[in-house]
Formats: sequence, C-alpha cells, structure tokens
Amino acid sequence: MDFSLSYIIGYIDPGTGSIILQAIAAGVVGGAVAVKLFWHRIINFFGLKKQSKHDDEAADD
Amino acid sequence: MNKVSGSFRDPSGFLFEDSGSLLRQVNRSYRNEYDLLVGSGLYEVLKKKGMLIPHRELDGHAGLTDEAYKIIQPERIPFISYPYEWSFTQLQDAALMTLNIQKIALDHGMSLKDASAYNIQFHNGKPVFIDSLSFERYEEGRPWVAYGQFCRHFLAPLALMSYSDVRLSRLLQIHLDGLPLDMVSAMLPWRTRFSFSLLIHIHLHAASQKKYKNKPGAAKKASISKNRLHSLIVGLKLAAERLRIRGQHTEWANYYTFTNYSDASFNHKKKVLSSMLKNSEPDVVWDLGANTGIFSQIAADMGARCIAFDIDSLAVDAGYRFIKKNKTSNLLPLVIDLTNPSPGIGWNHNERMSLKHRNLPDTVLALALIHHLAISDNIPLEMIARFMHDICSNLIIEFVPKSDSQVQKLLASRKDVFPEYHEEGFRKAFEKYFEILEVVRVDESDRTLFRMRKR
Repeated sequence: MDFSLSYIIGYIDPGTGSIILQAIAAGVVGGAVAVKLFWHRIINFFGLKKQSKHDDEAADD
Repeated sequence: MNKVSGSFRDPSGFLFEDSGSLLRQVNRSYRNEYDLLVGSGLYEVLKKKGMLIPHRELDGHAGLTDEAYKIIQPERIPFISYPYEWSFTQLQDAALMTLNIQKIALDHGMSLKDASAYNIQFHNGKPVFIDSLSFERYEEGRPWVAYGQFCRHFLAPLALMSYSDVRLSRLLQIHLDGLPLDMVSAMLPWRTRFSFSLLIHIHLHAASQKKYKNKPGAAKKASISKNRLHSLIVGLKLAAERLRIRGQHTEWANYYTFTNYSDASFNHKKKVLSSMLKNSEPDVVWDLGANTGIFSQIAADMGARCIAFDIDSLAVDAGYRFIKKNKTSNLLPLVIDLTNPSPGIGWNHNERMSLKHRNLPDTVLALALIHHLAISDNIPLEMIARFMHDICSNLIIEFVPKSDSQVQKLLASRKDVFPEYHEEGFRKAFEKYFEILEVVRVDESDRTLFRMRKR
C-alpha cells in the first residue's frame, strides 16, 4: 500500500523516521506488551507486588 | 464573526466567534470523516464517557466561509489552559486520555489524525478532548500518523520531568509542536536507555528521524496490522503511566508544610477568608500563589469557579491529585510564574493566549504572596497593586510585615532595600487602585487580611 497517497485527511507530517520506527516498534512492542502483561499476571497471581494506587486508577479508564 | 486566532492549521475546519458564541465550522473536505464520527457511534461513546467535548449541530447557520458543511457549537470551556501550565500528573492524564481515545477510535474504524496536547483541556476537573475534527477513517495497515506528535507532545516532556527535572515542562512553551526528540534524547540521563519504552519511543525514535531525514520515500511501504497498532497504543500507555515524579504520592494534606501559623491562627485565617469571600460574592476566583489550593477550596466550596495558580509544580500536582480524588469539578490547579506569566505566543503572538487575555476572574486571592513578590522579586508594591487592578474587581490580600519570620528569612541573606515595605506603605500603594472595605488581623500572627474593591 502506498501510504503517501492515502493520507488524504491528515494535515500534519507524520515524518518518515517516525513511521519507520513505529512499524518496528509496533512489532517489538507488540511482543513485549504480551510478555509484560503475562509477567504482571504471574506476579499478581502470587501476590508478589501490591498494585499501586495509580495503577488502579489507570485501570478504571 | 471572527476566526479564533489559534485555529488555522487543520483544513478540516476552524473555530470562530459569532455574537459571543464559540462555534466550529466543519468544512466540506471533512464531510465523510465527520459523518463517520457520528455514524460509527464513536462520537456518542466518547461523549458518554466524558472524553470528548459535546456539541450540538446548528441547522441554518451559513458558516463563515463557503466551504462550510456543518456548523457545530461545542460546550464552552470557561478557562483555556496550556500544557506548559500543567503539572506532571495533569500532562500524564492528558496523555492517557489521548491514547484511550485513540484505542476507542480504532475500535470504531477511525484514528486520531493529530495528537497535540493542545487538543486537551481541563474541564469540570477532568481532561477532555476538545477537537471534534481530529478523527479520520482508519485503513487496515496504515501506521498512526500522529505517533511522532504524541511522543513530542507527551512522552518526551513526561520523561524529562520524571528523569531530569519537573520544571522542564516549561520547554513546551518554547516548542509549540512538542519537544524535538533529538534534544530530549540528548538531555535524558543515559540510564533511560535501559528503559525499554524510552529506548524505543525516544532514543531510537530520534535516531530514526535523523537517519531518514532526507529519505522521504523510505516509509511508503510501511504497514502495521491493526493488532500491532493496538499493542503500540497499549505500550505507549504503559510507558506514560509508569513514569513518576518525586513526591507524586505525597498526600495533599502533608504537602502544606511551610505555613507560618499556629493551628489557632490557621483556623482563624480560614474563617476570616470565608467571610470575606462571602461578602465579595465571587463567580470566578483566581488564587495567586495558591500552593496546593487549600484556600481555593473554600472558594470552590461556595460554588465559585476557581483556579489555583502556583509556581511550584509539585504543589500544583498535589492539588490536582486532591481535586481528582475528591471529584471537585470547579477547581483547577495550574503552574504559573507570576513574575513571568504565560505570554501570547505562536504565530503572530496570537496562537496561544497570554494569561491576561483569557477569561479574567472577578475575585483574586493573594494570600502569603506579597512578600515573595515585593521582597524576593523586588516588585514595587504600587506595581503589584496595578497588576491586581488590571485583572480583578475584588481583591482579598494578606499583608505579611517584616516582623514575620517568613519575611525575616527572605531578608536574612540580602540588604533590606525596602523602606516602603510596611502596612502604611502597603495601604498607600493599594488605595490608589482599590477601596479598602475590610481589615482583619489574623489571630496569633503579625499578618493582616484586607478585602478591597477596585476603584
């Protein structure tokens, strides 16, 4: 897909470097987020870490 | 009818004033996206959750230009504030709000086409997204156009505030489209490279921008699946919400430590203030030098809309967390340096309003402030009086004499060049601009509260 043509509505410059990094990050972060969530589930399961107040608030969103 | 000066970059539409009302013109070029925003149910969902400012469509309004597709009237925000006036938690909440909106938008087949911090305002005690024209149709595979902007406007300043110094939020006042990532990457401590999210979203992001600076075609084939895009948003959320500043969990009540009062005089001061506020019947109050906003709370409890300004970002942050916890809707804490208040900036000095050009209060509280301005900052009493006269009609101000230990502290390391700084001199300076209506000495202290009305 040629994205340079499909930014019809957008009016800001997404930036070439930002797009490329984003594509890489989405791949890496995608895996990392899955691992992180899994890890926190394990930690919470064993009650090793008390959730902070802020986390509770964020979870309300 | 006049276009609002800060609303000109986005060709989708703009804000304008029409006989005192603030309206938004939706241009024909944005028609499909606007119809999708409403038709997909996204508008309704975001409105219901209090995340997007509600608006009503005005039928029969011709608009300001012939490109008009629709004219909408958004609910008016009584006081506009800017990211460089927010404390850490305020900027953090604004960042999380933006990401939550992007997540919900993706679920409705839309995506944010910008992620500017200026699209968020604090309204009724909470952040709310104010630009109804920021949504575009999402196409499978397309990267998020506003990713770079999000990092510049939110993640970069939050990281700097967290890892370097909380006062660096003021950099947002210089860089109106967010902080350049190469600059932030160079400023952040080296150890932030061991933070997975900062390594990616700031350091490698900056390197990638540099590498592809002169290769505009390189990103043409970049594609990101919807699932991956979701993960990216979740990853950004985790990154933003895990950042912390020193004292972010300090209780509001514990923060108020540098008062110069015994319990008796503190309570007396509250009582006198309460009575003086009642007598001034305020609608809109600015509390200048509010610290955490402990006295602003009295005005807010009376139903006045109150803004608590302080130079101390940590105190403002404590105040914000307090109103958030208590769901106070009519008190907004903001960071302001009164000796250098926010100027009119951006294109033609007009894009972001100076503090004085925004909705001014009817009543000003200036408690335990005058000695800081007059002695620490060498501002003559007469000039302080003139400034107060410019911004309000009712003034409740505390005079703190030289005999007070806080003033003694300020004078300890410097020459006393303030022969006029005494109660008589204070009265003389202020009576030029105000009529003094009430004078009450605070019990067990040398301090005096004055209630005045503008001449």
